Amino acid sequence: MSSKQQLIVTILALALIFVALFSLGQGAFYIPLADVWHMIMAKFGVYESPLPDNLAEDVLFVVRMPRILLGMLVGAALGISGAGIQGIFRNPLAEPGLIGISSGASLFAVLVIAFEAVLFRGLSEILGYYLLVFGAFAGAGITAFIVYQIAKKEGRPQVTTMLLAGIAINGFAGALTGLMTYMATEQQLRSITFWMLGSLGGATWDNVAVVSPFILVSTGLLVFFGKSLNAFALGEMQADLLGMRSDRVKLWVVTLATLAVGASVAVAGIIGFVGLLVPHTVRLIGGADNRFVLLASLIMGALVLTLADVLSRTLVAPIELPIGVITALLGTPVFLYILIKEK
Amino acid sequence: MKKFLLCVTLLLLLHNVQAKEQRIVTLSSAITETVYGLGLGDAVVATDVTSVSPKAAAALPRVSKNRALSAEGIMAYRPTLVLAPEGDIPAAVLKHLRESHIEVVVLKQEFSERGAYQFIQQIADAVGVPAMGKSVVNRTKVTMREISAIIAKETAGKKKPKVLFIYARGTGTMSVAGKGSSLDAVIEMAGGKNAIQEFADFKPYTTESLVKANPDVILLFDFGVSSLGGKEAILKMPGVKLTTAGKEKRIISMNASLLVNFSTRLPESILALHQELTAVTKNQ
Repeated sequence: MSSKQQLIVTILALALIFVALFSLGQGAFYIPLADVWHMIMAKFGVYESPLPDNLAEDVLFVVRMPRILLGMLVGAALGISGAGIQGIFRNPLAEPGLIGISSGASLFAVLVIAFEAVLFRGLSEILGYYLLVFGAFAGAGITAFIVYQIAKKEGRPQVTTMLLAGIAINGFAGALTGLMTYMATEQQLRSITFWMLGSLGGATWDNVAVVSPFILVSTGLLVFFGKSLNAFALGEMQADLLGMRSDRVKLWVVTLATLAVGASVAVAGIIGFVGLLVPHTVRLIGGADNRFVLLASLIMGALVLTLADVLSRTLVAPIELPIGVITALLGTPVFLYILIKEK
Repeated sequence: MKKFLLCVTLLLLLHNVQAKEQRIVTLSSAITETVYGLGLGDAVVATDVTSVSPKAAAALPRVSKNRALSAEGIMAYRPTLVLAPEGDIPAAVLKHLRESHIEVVVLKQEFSERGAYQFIQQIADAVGVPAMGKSVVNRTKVTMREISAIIAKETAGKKKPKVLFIYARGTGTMSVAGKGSSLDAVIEMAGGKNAIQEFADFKPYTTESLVKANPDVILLFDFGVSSLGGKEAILKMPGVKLTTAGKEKRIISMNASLLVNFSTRLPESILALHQELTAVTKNQ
């Protein structure tokens, strides 16, 4: 990484820390930042006396903190997966959402909701909340596998075929989800909306604990694929000539990205645009070295989602806006501005 | 006897004292109007988007829009008690509230006269005024009996009009109320007959099923009528002209929360629907 890239990564990381801390005080329930600081320090035993407001403490530790953590995890997963997938296909359009992973995951989640009472009762009793998470995971994995298989020609996935297959899968998943919406009861309808527009409102310490191993491992491993992806940028033949097993790299990156995106869809629904816009923005401001793009996308993804979540919680408080709406509204103009400026 | 009365008075006073310390968030219009009906309106600090009655409740802050709820949005009002209808409150929100030591009572509603009384009593128990609950239930029962008697007298010997209820949110999403639905119950109580006898619950609306049902009256919620573009637009919908309701231009629009709340305003809603039915079928 060049020193400029290192500087960008440092600035992004500092911004993330700042935004995360700042957002602890923001929301429908107002808590002054000084009180936030006090309550956290009291938890660590730095200050002896806790503040008298128990409810504020509950809001902070029960509701807001898991939510901000979940936002950071999901954002990081979406950002770096987008960067990884784009690197593999040497195509800036290939995003986890576009090749069908997200819609596959949400379709399976919706199927679980719609048929829970009929088909999954036994499973549901054993797995409880995890049934949905596993459903979304399975959906992500199955769609990724199908798209990958369809796109394979003489052992090598073709980018165009992959995108077309992704579009087809998206259309199909969309239609099936639509069908479920049509048949669903009012109650199911509300859960389905969650999957389609995305939300961090369901964040609890439990689901932070469920997804963090998946996301931390997959994104942590993805960071080290920068060098391989740089070789890919020259073309697969060249990469092979450089002594790289390109097929194996492809499989690894797709698998890790699927794992990360599947986990994030499972807890937060579909949050669009982050996987597409974040790596682009990173590349436009800091260059295309994948070692930099992956790391910076990881941090910036977390940053963007934390920011979007603060906005979703505060703009129309006490009501919340769906976070997918915010990421699209926030991301697209910024992205277009950068595109036009760099043209 | 005197002692007993004294005890009751003391208990009531105690409850009132307790009530003053409560901060209640109500999450459906049926719950809201019942809490107000029990005289605890002052303790309500926020409601959901559907709670527009009574007027005092309509002026309160809203914690939901289109039924999307957030835990923080509710906690911002520092409630001591949250009353929510079953199925309307997401599991995570419920978990957040309970972990924050806020009492949440989830209420299941049965759409019948008996269900309405149970519902009122459940809420009265939850807010700590069971005796008040009993007296409100009795009052509602008495009114209901009077109204049922009037309706029975007026409809005696007459053919009950066939009423088709259409739930509409724009032309794309329309469904009709079948047997056993909340609307089925109010239509019967108000002296009508549900035009749909073939299936239960709500099913998507089709032109052919409309013509087949051939209702004498079409009933919609007021927002349903406006979502379809007004009564004139409904008369122009495919197939409506082929039904008695369409030919006679019998379309009734009623306030949604009044019609299906099944709580303290049940007698009022039955009477209102009955009067509307009588008005449109007068020249039959």
